[in-house]
Amino acid sequence: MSLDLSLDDTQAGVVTALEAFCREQWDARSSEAQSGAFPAERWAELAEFGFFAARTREGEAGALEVVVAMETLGAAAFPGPLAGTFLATQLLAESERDEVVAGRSIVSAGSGRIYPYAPAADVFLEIDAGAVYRVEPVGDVSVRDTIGGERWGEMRVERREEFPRAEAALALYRTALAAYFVGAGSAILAGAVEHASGRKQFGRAIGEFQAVAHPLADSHVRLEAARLLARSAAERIEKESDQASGEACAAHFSARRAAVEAAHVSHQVYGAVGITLEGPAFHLSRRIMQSAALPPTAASDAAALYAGGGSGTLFEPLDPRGRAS
Amino acid sequence: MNFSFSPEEEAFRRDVIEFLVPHRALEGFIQQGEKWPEVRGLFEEMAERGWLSLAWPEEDGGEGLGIVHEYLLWDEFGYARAARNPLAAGIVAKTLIRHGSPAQKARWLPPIRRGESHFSLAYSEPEAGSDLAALRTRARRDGDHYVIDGEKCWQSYAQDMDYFWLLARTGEPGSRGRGLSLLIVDREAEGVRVEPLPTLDGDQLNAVSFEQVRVPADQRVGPENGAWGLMGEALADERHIQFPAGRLRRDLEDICAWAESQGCAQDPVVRTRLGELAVDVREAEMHSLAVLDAMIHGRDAAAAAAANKIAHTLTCQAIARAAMDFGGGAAAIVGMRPELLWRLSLWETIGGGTTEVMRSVVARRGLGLGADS
Repeated sequence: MSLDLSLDDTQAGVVTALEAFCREQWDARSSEAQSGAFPAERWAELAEFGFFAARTREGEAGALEVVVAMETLGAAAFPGPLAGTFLATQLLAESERDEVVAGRSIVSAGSGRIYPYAPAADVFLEIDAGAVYRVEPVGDVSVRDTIGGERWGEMRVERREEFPRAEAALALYRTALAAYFVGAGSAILAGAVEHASGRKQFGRAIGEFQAVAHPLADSHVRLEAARLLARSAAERIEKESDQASGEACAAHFSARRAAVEAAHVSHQVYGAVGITLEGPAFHLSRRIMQSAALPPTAASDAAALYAGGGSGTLFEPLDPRGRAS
Repeated sequence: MNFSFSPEEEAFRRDVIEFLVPHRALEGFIQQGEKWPEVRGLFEEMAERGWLSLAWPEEDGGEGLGIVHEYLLWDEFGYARAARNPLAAGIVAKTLIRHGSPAQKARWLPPIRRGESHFSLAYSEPEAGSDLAALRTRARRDGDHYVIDGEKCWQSYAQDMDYFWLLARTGEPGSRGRGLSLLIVDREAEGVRVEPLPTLDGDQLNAVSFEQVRVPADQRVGPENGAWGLMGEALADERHIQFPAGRLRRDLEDICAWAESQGCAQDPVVRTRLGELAVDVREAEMHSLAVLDAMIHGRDAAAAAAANKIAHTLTCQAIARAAMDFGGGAAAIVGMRPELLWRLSLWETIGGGTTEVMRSVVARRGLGLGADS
């Protein structure tokens, strides 16, 4: 089989099902979404799709289904610890994993003193460079409201165990997060493009002006590359390729950058209406910026991609094309 | 979804890699002007394997293979820096295959396939660069000939090529794209003058003037005044091989090796920047695959190709500039890799359609905006 970048029927089915679910069950501009409370009911409904079991013994879905699901959820600005849940399902033992997969146990994957969704969380994971630890809160958890309109926790933690096989789990986590960025970034950009097509100033649609159109085009270029990189990372995860981890780092870096850029460009194109709370952009841009604050950092992705001395992930002699041999 | 090539395609790629082993020092991709005799020899060697006519139909003397083979071939040539895909076997031959008469095909295709006939584009003019439809070079019909008068400029490789693939006005002044025709003009024809315009990468562009140059009418390809559509088709035929991402990977590898040789690769700022550039290269590779995928599956690849050019050429410049930014006087020494790559990279965002034109293509064709050209 040769190159084919289109979705297969299963993947297209995931998109259709989740688009319908989000349309009916989740309005990111609703009062429920604005309340800051963890939407436990919606979370349990999402869990019923079974995606959280992806790449576990019980799961049917693979990494490519995770990616298209995350793109769709990102476009809807769906809340909650989506990527962190995939990290946990790859690391936890079966009994604990079942609770996470079913949406009954909530995961907080953080670093330093900030833990996402901590007030609602049952399982705490610390991401530190290439390692993942199970941690427990020590002392009080201070509830912090986030830019994304959610409640996270500031707290001290103690490490309880370091998980083996963290690299593979982090690859799926990074890839899932990348796909969420792609979905959210594409959605905010699509809205801005529509606005630029309809909004007239100086007698013309503002999208006819290069000064408006070109940043939107650049943003589209970045997002399309990130979309394919996330899907490529998912394919490598499925094939258990040695390069899955590096590709996931590249995808995460690329998608994070593309989505943050799309958010900024879109706000600029929307003008004043974009900075209103009820406007067309903030429900997405706040989620993009919040997700950009999740570990690992862009710098850690980049550092993982260039280790130097010929051992950089993308440059090692095991080049897939065998050029070095 | 599948990001891989078939075993047969990968086997072809390995053949190409093996073929390129003795040519790794050639660097014809980045210094074609200086290396032209060797590059020409390389093309003749390729021709013996049928590699200049890989995707031509078999009835036209080609190998009848798919565009994936062409993509893999030129991607590896880019990585090895051996040579850029020649215009003759690409745009010229594919236009002749689509629109040439049987006599034209019989005359022009065999020497192109053998790597013996080489062409340079003669499109741009002093007053018609991005706005090509404004060109003024005139081709006046005179019996069984056309008589060419006009000035072309910024022509790559014209000094070494055998023929011009000339775009000239056969319609009324002001007829824009509706009044243009394509003609094959012998570089040695009387009245043709090629003046070098030395460029900052050590190569040259050329200004070419045509004064009362007589060209047989049977060297017009396609209908009179019908060139615009042909040019669009020819560009579409070549989108998958225009910007081989292998070249970017090679540039970045060179810059990594250079940073290590200079002792700055352990600087965290340098390492982070190299990691970022690795992402840029992967992004460009994804755009290349997107173009190829669209073409394989019969979708319009115009927006994907414009996106690919933007990503590829900006990354090419970013790699070269990063090495200059890392500091260290060696980067400025003529002949060292960073300064050479920097000088070479500046043309990339201009030749073959500027970044600004490409952004407008993405805005119009990819996003549906009514952006100005």
